[in-house]
Amino acid sequence: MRINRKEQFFITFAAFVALGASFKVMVLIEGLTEVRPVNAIPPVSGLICGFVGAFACGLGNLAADMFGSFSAGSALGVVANFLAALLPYRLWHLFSNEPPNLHCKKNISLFIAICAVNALTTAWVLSFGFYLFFDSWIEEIYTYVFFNNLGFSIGLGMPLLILLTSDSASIECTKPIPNIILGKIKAKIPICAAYALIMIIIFISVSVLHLRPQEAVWLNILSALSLAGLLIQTV
Amino acid sequence: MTKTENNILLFSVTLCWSASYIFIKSLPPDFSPYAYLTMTAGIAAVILSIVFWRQLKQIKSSTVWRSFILSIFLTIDMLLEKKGIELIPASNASFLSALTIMIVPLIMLLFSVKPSRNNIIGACIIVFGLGFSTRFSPSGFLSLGTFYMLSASFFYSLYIIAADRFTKEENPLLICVVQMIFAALLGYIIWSIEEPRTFFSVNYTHELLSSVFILAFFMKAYAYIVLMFSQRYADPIRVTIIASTEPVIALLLAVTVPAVYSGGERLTAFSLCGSLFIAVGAVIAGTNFLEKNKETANAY
Repeated sequence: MRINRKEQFFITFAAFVALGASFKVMVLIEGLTEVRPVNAIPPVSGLICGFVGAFACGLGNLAADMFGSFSAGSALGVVANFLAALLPYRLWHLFSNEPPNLHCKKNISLFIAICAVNALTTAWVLSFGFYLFFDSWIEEIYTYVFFNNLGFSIGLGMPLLILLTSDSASIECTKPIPNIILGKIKAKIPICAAYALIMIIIFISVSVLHLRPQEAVWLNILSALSLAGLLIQTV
Repeated sequence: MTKTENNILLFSVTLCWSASYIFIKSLPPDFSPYAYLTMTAGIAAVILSIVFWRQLKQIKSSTVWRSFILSIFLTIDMLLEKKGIELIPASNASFLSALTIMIVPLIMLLFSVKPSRNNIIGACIIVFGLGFSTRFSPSGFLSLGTFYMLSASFFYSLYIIAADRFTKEENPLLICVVQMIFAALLGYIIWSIEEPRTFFSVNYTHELLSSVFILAFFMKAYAYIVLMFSQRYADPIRVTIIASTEPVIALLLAVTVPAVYSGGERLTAFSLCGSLFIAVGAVIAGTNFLEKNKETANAY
């Protein structure tokens, strides 16, 4: 089944707003985050709709914020959700020549690995973004965002992708747009592995060792490196 | 669709049903179960009709008739379960309602479908685990409540078997949409008998609306679409085996979900041992290593 770009945008946007708004009552950090099954949508819409899905997720998150947690921080939510859809799209097409599907165990493993890197990235963008732009470091944001993203993108996102790519629905995925940097240089594995490693180091530092960027300045250096890695993978 | 993909889908249904207790607990105590059925099935029917409006044109009279039968089975199951829960302890009720895993293979025998050795041994271990985790007590077992609960399990088993047949002959998406419409109508009829003011008798709060919408979306719309869809590719025994792992997932959720959202429960030796038995039973029942002829086992 082929869906045009307008339909892709509105279906993703409507699903994001409906699901995002209805869970605003399950607050985890007042005004900042809640239990978010809606996090299942970005990886799936990114894989299926590419950039259109990423824009719909970013704007959908902004619209859902209007139902209870709208603030200056919502701008960061737009960026984080845009990236949460774009990064899986980019990573899938870097590591697989097939259109997104979970028909074999190799693809399932790839999807889970992508979801893990994606969850680490979203948690990093939001927690370090708040620290950088609002001078506020809240460790819980990192932890909650990470587990929200990982749990729902695998627990709900995976079955959703299976349904959409099954024989009965067989939705046609957007064709990949070549990556500007990684498409030219043959270093995708070391760059992506280094990025994942930095993300894991940040996770251990923040969630396990409870370090703060104010005290552990090297975390800011790792963040700068992560930003470079993220740009290389997504542009 | 591959077997792994289908198993993932069925597990996601079990996950939705296990997580639903968080939202059901947040409903007001005086909220009628028929109001719950009417609202959740009604909202699910609207959502599904919007999403699949193009396919709705393909509805045939056989689809309507079969969906009606399915919704009747589900409504009777719900009515009997409600009666049963009122009469016996909750632990025994949850154990008896999980006996579907034994009833489905028994009914399947009537259709000359024999369960495999793995199915039988796995199901026995699962039932033992369920009895352990729910702390089933034999005292007062022979009662009217037990009869109601067993009858409820019987009707739910009929639902699983009927859904298995119908989804292989009809479009599962359409079966699900029409079934939701009938479930909402049946719920509304019973609700209007119980409380003639129906929708006007409910005290609408933000939390109530939110919970009803979430339950409609996940427990009805998503779970039933996926269930109908998966049943097309899976046999009823496999469906009940995966559904029987619900206590394991419910236990994981109860431990991991924050206390403020009905979670934060302590892990007890009973629940942990019971869950381990269920998990082991599900693995045994879902595989075929005890079969001499693997092709025969795969037939189920």
